[in-house]
Amino acid sequence: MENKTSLRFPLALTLAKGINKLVNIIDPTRGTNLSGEKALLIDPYMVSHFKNIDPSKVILITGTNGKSSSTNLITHILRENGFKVISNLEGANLLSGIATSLAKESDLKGNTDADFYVFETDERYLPLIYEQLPAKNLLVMNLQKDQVQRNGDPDFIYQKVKSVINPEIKLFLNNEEPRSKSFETDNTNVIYFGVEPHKETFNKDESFPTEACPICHHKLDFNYYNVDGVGQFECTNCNFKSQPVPDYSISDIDYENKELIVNGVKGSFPYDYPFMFYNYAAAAAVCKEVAGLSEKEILNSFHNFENIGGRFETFEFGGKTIKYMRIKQENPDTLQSALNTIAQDKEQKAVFLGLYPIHDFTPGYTNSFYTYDCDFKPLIESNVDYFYCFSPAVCYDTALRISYEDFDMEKVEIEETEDPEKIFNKIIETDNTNIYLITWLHTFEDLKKYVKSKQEESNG
Amino acid sequence: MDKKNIKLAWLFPSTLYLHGERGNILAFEKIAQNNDINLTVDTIELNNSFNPLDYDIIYMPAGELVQAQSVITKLEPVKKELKQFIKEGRPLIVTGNSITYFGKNIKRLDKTFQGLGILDFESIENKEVYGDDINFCTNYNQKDLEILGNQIQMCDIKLNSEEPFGTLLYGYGNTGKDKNEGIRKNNSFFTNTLGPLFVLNPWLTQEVINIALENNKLSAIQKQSEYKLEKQSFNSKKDYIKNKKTNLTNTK
Repeated sequence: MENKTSLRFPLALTLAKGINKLVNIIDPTRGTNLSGEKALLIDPYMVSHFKNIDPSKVILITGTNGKSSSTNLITHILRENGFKVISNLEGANLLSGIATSLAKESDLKGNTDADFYVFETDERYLPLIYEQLPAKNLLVMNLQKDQVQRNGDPDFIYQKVKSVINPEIKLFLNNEEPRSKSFETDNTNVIYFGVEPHKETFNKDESFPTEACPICHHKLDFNYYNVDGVGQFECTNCNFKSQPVPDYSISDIDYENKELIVNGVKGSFPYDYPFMFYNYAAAAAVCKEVAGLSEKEILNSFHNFENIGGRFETFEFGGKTIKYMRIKQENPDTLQSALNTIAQDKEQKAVFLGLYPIHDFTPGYTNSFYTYDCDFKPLIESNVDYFYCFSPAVCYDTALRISYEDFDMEKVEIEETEDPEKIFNKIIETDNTNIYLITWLHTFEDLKKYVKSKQEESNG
Repeated sequence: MDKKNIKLAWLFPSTLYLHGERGNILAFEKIAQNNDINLTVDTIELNNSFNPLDYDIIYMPAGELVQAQSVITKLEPVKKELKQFIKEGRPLIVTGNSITYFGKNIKRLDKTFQGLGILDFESIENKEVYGDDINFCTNYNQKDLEILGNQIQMCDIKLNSEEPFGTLLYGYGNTGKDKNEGIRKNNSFFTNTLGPLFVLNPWLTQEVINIALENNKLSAIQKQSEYKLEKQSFNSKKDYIKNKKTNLTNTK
């Protein structure tokens, strides 16, 4: 079967290159996987047929959070240091995205000449990708509960990742995320990365469950969290725990001066949201171990690194400055980080909270259970004057979550709407000038479009 | 005046921790507090000792299939007491995948193993996960109740001689093929509904507490609570379900 499909490779590659050219003419800014998708219909093993790819130079990056940012950062560091890199930065993290990237960068015979191949890979599709691209380096950022409608148990994804691990692979594992770290039991060729406690490190009180040890299923204790579910941990039953000192560690994080230390070497950093520090640590580990770069060379590349989106974004409307905190729904980690960040601001504030039904697939559904994994107390105690809960269907559940905190529910307003005009009217109406907005990216983009259209109207 | 004390065991919260089930404990505590009931919640982890008969209510949240054998091993020595607990009409509440632990066997994609065998049903793991809203009616503590929540289904539940807990109005329920939702045994129930079930459906929470009170010869909650916010949530989501696209045909 493989021989037959390899005969199809020239046709698949020609088609992919043709589509890439067309897309480039129509809209060069548009990332697409169309060429890979169509070419894979002709040669389903297309990715395995590209030539000159040394598996020891291939890095696959997977995990619940941070895989896009890490892929972006590692690619950036390698390119800044003069290496040629093929990466799927613009395309999907599926086989089609990788096929598209390789087709773009190869010659007409499928020869590639990159120094490194850095690919973000969806956790679910890692086995399919690995089958065609048997990388010798695998970076696992974290494996947490996420997208439960698609993934169900975290173990469902855990088994997918586990299925590709073998002694030939060098593993880069998050020392402070239990599931990722537990892959060490399948492979001794492991490099650990981690982040020491910093200003935004937090704890939760004992009423919050922690999580199950991936080895023996007993309770894990966390000394602290840098991100929800990520921090130095120890099993209450077996010996499974974080390494006291990982191979690559980010320490002495100075938020004010935007400086940190990687394995004793000081440098500056561009983004300060909590999971980003794990991306820095992972990138340092990969770039030193695989490409031989020094900590100094790695840190020097940080200064002009640009990532997609940041910790928050501010914009003006109706004479008010709105601080937008981006979250992923179905996943408590990003909501907890947003709550913690806002809680650091002790000025009186209004919080506009738009938790929406999940519409990733048919049917959509009204999941709000991740909010009960989050600790709202620090936010409630940080001088919140007003909550506005908006969205179709889930707005009442959002208010219900707040009702389980010590907060005057008279100061909570609920509106079952996604109409930007109604939402912005409330922003204008409130006496508060310190405004925070928490919602997922899709709604935020709609709100931004509305702001832009209003600005265009007023500019005539 | 009655001195109203009831005890709830929250089983293995750090092992069965998937869907914000801490909210359910908050819901029990809130209703108890609003009705002058002294509710003691004991958190039982896998390494704590546990006698079911020390409790009036036992709540076991949704867990992963991979943890089934650890939980079954932990509960095996108190199987007799669990059976007695159910037989005496005390509420054992089990949600999500944790239901599977109580059946005869669990047929995973790669192997089959025995459950606790406390109930007569089988669990069969599906190749794909199914996540959705769920809406069903049930009669519990002689009250007709309508329940709304979420379901993340990894296994189909094949009832043998057991009775369902409710009749689906919408949702996948036990198999996605009929209107059966969960399992009912006396005042114990095993529901596919997970997440903050008792936050969103306080009328059910109240009846669980009432049963615990009545089992202790204490008077049930008299005060009629409005549950205004919960009812708004319920109605809003009911409309959402009515108007959404779905591939399910079992409740049409």
